[in-house]
Amino acid sequence: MKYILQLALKNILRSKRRTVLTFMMLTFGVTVYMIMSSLYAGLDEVSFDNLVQFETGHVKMRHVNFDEDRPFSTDNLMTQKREIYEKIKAHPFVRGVTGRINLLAEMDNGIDSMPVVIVGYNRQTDKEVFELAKFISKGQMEKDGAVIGVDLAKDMGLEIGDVANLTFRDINGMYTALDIPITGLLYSGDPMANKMKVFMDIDIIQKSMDTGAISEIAVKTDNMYKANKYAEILQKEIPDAEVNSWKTLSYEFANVVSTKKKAGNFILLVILIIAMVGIVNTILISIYEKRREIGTLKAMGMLDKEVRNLFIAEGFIIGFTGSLFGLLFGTIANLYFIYHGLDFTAMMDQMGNMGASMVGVMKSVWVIKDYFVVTFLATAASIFASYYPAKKVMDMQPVDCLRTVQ
Amino acid sequence: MFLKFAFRNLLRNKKRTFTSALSVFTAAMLVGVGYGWINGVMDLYSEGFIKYQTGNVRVVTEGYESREKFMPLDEVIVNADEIVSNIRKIEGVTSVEERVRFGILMGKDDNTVTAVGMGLDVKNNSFGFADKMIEGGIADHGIYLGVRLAESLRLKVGEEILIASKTSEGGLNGIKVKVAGIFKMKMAAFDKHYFFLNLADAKKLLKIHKGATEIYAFTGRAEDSAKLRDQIKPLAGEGLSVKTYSEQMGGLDELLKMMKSIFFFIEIAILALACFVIINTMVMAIFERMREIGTLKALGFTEADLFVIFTGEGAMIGILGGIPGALLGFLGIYMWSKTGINLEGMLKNVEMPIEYVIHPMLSLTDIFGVLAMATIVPIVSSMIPARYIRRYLPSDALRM
Repeated sequence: MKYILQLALKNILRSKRRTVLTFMMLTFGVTVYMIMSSLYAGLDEVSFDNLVQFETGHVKMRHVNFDEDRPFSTDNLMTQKREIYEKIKAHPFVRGVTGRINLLAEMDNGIDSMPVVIVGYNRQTDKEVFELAKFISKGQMEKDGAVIGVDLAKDMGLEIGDVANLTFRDINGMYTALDIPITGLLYSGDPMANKMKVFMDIDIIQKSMDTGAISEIAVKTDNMYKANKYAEILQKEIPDAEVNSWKTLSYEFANVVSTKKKAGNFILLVILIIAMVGIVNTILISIYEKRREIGTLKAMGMLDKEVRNLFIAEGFIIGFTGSLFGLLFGTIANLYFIYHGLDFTAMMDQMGNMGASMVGVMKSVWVIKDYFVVTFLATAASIFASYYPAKKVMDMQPVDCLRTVQ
Repeated sequence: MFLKFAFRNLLRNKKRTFTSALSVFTAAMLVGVGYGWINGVMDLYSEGFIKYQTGNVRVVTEGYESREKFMPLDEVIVNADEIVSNIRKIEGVTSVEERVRFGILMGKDDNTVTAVGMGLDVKNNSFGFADKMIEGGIADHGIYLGVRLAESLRLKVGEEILIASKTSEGGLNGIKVKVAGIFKMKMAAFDKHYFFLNLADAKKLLKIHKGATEIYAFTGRAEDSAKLRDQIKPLAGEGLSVKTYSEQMGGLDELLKMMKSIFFFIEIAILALACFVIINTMVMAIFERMREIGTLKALGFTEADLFVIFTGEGAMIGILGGIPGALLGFLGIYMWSKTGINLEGMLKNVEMPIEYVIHPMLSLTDIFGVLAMATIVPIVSSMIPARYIRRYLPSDALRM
């Protein structure tokens, strides 16, 4: 085997130009795939993290008839009941429970106004479930103040210490207004939070809305990847609420992720097909050019299958080397994308929500699995591609081959 | 004569010829369909933006432009009537509209939603919502709601709703209006968030006594936008911003153009891939017929002659597969362009001015482009293996 590989390597180096052209196709394809795969993985990681941090927690409980098409309807509000909190906390997998209220409001700076979403949170229990404090870039959360997204503050020309006016409808449908000082700015990976959200103490909101109700109860568990199972357990205990895990709640986003994964896999398939066709060509030409050598080797006693294996080994070496170089260039490119990222800020401003929860700078992450999968697939494809032309060698008669003049 | 030779050679190994031609046929069909699809979608984006968001050219105050996301009501073009009537006199202008846009919270019973109101000529406008009404019709007064907005607020035609908004004077004003109609434009942005009312009623609500906040001019052709902008600028005067649709779209327009170029190269790559098959076929053909090549050379055929024969063979495989494939792709695009493709499932939450039903399209330039690619790429691919003929002397070739 070692002898065959050595011979194959020497053969490949005899026609360097053709060999390099062939494996460059694979190198290019693998490099592009590595970059795209890491970018998508970075996007997914940030997006799911964002969803869990700001929107869903691990498990979320809402009104049993929660209407997705009318998310700010007061019919979606639930009465807070102590026994529900106690039922949830009784489970050993629960790490934190908190209630929040969400409502649509208009923020006015005296000149302009824009729609915002007010999130009323419980200052004691919210930090057991969400990590809001981690994302406060300036100022702090205070009982009688509001923390607003940095982009919202920028758009409205508001700084810490300024007072914003908020107008919204209370539980009875009457419009009510509230003046609140800005005490903190939020910068998170969630563009929605940065552009639209206003976080305030739930007591202030409930008092203004003339209600003690909440929109949701969020739960943090010991393992977010078991959230589906935990949600089922909690649902059985609390049948008159709707209990979902973050996975179920993010199904629309998950569809986008799976579409992107399918697109990525399709691209890898196209790359492999292109590389395979190139390898078939190269091996075919190599066989026809070396007919006399094949005849010589067979005449000297080399078995048909050994000669065949020689050409398969050529294909293997081209494929393996091509994918290795692709992994190397992909790694170098990914170093840039992982530590520096791609700035999509200008595009995001124009295009808005594109099916992923991310801020302007998109950073890749390492996908270790790709190194193994791509190497294996590229090498396997190369061996498969070289098999068909190499098989032709088995039918060649030494005497016919030796009659060839080169 | 050489092409006759090439054609007869094709028929000597029908299976191989057919398989090679089939791969080129498939690739060319994919390219034809892909091109039509991409062009249809990209052009739809631009057309959609022009028709529903930007006009060919838009006139606003510079202050409005800088605070556009708030739809400010204190940035009024006071002499809008005069500017509109002057723009109407420009040759090529198909319509000019005065509009006022404003954002509000709309509430009814238990629900509150964000909504964008637009005051305009309800009978003659680029939205054409009068033709897209699913309930009610155009009336002297009243509002016209997007279908999903109406569902969200559980409003029906004939019901009343209070609309309250900030005014151009900074205060608050409200009017009670009847729902005169509900429209379905098959665009998420409009069906979910927009309502229309006639310009006079909007100006009364917003206390705009004279003028409008936006003027839109349409020409019917995107290419005429820059020329129209240059004609409107002197009419608009100081302090007003006059921009084409492309300038208003900013980075998005550049991105769409870049995507079109990327798809063009992807399509060439797909065709080139199919042509690898031709290269394969020709390499095998050349090596198998080395004795014939030797015979022909010995009979006096020059290398150039043989080059033409073999290139012709490969090119014919490509063209015989590529042209019908491309034509079938065009036929598919033509049929789809008549029926349209409904992407409501995918687009219903994408808030851009793109209709759910997409009609792919191909211009004559595109068709010729694809046919040219389907012809040229096989010819060039066949030249690569045909080069091998040069290496062999007739005596060597005859010995093979």
